[in-house]
Amino acid sequence: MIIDKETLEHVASLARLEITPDEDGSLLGDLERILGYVAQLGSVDTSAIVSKRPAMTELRPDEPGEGLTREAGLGGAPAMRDGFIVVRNVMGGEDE
Amino acid sequence: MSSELPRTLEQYRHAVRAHELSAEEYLDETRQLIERGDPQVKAFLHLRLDAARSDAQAADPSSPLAGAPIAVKDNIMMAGERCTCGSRILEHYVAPYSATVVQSLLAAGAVVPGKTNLDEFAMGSSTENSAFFPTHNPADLSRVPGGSSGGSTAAVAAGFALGAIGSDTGGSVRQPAAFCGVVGFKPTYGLVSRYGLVAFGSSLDCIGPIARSVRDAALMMNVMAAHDPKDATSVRRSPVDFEAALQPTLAGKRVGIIRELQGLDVQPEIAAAMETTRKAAVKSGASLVDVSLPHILSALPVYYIIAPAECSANLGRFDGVRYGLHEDGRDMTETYSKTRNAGFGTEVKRRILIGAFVLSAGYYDAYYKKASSVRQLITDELDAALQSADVLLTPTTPTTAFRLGAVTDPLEMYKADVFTIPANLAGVPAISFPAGKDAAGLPIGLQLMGPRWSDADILSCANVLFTALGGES
Repeated sequence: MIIDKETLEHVASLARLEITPDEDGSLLGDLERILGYVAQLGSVDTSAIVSKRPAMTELRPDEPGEGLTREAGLGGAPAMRDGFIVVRNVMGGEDE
Repeated sequence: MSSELPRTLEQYRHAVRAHELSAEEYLDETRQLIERGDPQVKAFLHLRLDAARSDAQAADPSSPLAGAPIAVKDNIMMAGERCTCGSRILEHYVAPYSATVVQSLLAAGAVVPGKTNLDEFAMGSSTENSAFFPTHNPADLSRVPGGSSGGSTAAVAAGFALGAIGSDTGGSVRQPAAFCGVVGFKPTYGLVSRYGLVAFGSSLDCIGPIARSVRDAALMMNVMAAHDPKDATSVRRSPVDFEAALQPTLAGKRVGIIRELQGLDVQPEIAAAMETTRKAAVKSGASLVDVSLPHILSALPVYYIIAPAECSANLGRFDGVRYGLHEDGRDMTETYSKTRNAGFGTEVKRRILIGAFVLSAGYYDAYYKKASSVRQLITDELDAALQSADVLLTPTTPTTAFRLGAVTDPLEMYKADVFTIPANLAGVPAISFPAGKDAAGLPIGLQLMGPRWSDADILSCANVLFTALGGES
């Protein structure tokens, strides 16, 4: 077995996904078979492979230009107050 | 207006320039086709036909696209329009800016009739993974159009647009193009800007044109290919006129046939189309060469490690805070997971979980690092093979379009991409062009791949074969 229920739950928590009880069994089975399939790469000899670094990408000059307006940038946020996005308390404690 | 409507972008442009047809008249005809046909085909997620008509009225007939309707896959942003990616998590999201490619198409006179359906976040090969509804193949409504750009290829095949754009991460432009009987081109990685494309696998994603002829794909590439300072992987190259580069023959070209793909289980009519096309290539002046890519069959497992790994990182941004769906939880972490759980469909969750697994401590070397090495090996082999051949000819898909609901096993679905994935892993250009039909009348597509930056050459070779097989020149 490559992946068990405990590992699946750990990976799901890393990915900030909840696994509902009805998904549990089928997801585990699918993942096991997919990971079993891709594990065939283990038999490919890659000892002589020199990984090439991707070619350097060209960065544009760091110059101020026209971007999104504040209004457009915030337009899709679920909750806003005084021109800022409202989030839950991330440092612990009660929300305001 | 002439009684016969133009079938291709090239014919349309000619008719508009000769004042035989106006962009508004053509759009009105297109609107009728959409209103009559799209309730069955379901190619579009959202239509903007009234806005498109005003755009068509304002279009300059002498502009490169002269008011032609071009559909846009709904993971490519168009300012002021929804961009759902086929997902509940972005169901009400409105794009605040346009993708560079969309801007280029609009500036060249294109008119966008609507945004097309796709597998959620471009993950799938049938468009059945759309959170909203599946798209049907115009050639046979009981069949899938392929995916993930199935809405775009169905729209072009059904006459709802003269061209479309899609994204291709593992074959998502070419495979549905083959299933729908249209042309789909994946350019060299870096030739077309990805700015404004919602990222899935950033090292693999390419935006490409979907068209009714290879010449039309070349016309669209003339508008789409350009360096973009907003995409750091966009490459600065001297501009190429892809249409002017189309040659009449394959004289002097070496067409490579990949030895390792010969034993694969391919539908007999597709094998027969390969044979017919090999003969057509020779008749057009090409020579056939046998090439070996010993690890090409490892491309599929490599892809199903690399693409999920990149998607698990890219889709981390959908957390219910800055945009998209929001489901309240007790705290921040629960808000994230509740939002993502409610917003993502099963295939997206599966891939995020695979990605998170192969990148997690203890598994990274065995999966992700290994896959990256094998990807390099396949790329090196492909580069070497493309020294002894100018282009490689393969089927685009092992079968023609399957029935909706017929493939339920995710691993079986992944195998539909066996011929298309190598080009994404290596970043080389590849095109699917129609090459006849099977016994049930379903379109067959064949693929040409070439070296990086040989895009003009690939389009030229595909145009020769496509027209030799009876396609529109």
